[in-house]
Amino acid sequence: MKHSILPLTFRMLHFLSTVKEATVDLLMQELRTEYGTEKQFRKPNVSNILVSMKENGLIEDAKAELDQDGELCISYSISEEGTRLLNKYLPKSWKAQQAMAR
Amino acid sequence: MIGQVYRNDAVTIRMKQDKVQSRFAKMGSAFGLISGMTFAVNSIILGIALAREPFTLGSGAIFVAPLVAAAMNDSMTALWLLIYNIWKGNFKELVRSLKTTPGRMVCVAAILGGPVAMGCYLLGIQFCGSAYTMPISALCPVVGAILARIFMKQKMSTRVGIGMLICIVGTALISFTPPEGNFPHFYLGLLFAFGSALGWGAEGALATFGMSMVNPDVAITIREITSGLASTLIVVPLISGIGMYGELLKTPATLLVVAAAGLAGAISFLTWYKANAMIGVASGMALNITYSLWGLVFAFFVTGVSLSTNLVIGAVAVTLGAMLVVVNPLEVFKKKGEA
Repeated sequence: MKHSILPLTFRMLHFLSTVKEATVDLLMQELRTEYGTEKQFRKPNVSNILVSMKENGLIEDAKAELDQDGELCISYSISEEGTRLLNKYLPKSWKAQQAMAR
Repeated sequence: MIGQVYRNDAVTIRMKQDKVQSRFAKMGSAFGLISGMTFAVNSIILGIALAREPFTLGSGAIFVAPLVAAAMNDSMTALWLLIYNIWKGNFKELVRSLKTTPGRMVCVAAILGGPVAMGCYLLGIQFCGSAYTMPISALCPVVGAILARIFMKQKMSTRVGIGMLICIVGTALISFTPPEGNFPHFYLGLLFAFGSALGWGAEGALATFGMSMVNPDVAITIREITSGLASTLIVVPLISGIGMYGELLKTPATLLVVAAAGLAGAISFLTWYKANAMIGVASGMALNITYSLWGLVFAFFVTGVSLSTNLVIGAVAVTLGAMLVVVNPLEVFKKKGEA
């Protein structure tokens, strides 16, 4: 079923509802085909959106580790509140697709 | 990448996490503070514009001028924000957001915060002066807390109750002092100032719902476009302000002043929504309402308004009370102690 493109923040929350947890790199890799050409789709911005969503209780830290270069690498997972909001506001076409995926 | 991790020192991780968090919180707080300062600047520049032609022309101008100014201010702010978003490459995101329920909720919030609250606010400034309107309108977090209690079933703590009481006492202190300038409709102005607190409080509560899934830069632009359009297309014709609006368009000098106010407004709204998204709506609102203090400071230095002791004590009380409503000082100190 064809559906409209979601706002980036919305789509990021949606993506996190389809996986157990994800780092910013994994999330960007998965959403690159949809938002890759856009100016907003840069790592610092996407990272900021994730921290913001965490501040507002939509997602949680699942795991925090250091990578090879000693850089902090956080995996996020969707929270109960995030799931509730997503179920309430996700457009119908997206819900249908989600149901089919299940 | 998770698979490439080779060293996992818990202390280092915790330190790095705290550093990221604290940098983010500091940036959010700075945005909140900037939003307060620039909102005061916006009000003062609008006050200057209201003292110029065509706002001073005609006998009915006293009722029409503030609302025409509000409509133009919102439209100018929307224009600045639209330019900013196009520059940031957010235009597509704007259209996308409007198609979602959270995006549309921001539109409803906009009507309450824009034409309703901003109209009341400017009528307040016109009737009782900005030094009085600003502190009273700063009651909006209190209204927000009450609405959240009624509609979102959020519990109100003792701290919130005490904060609200301080706000009310502070507002009474401000309201009971008649102004020294020439304000024949002083008490009507106070009523409008309260109206603005009501509108903004309702906007805050509703926008909180919608904003969590829409980019704050985009959300505030949707808000300002809706508010600018509603003010211009509904409010201005309703108050027979089309004539004055037309005159304003033909008076480039005043239009330029309103455009400058709109720029300050754009920075203020942008940083306010950014702060809300970064440090939470409660803390964002607390820092935003410091505009009543900045307003007094700027009014004192720029327009030379005389400040009574009551006014100053009242303004400080309203600000402190409203901050107590939205921020738990114990938690702030605890966080500082942990850092």
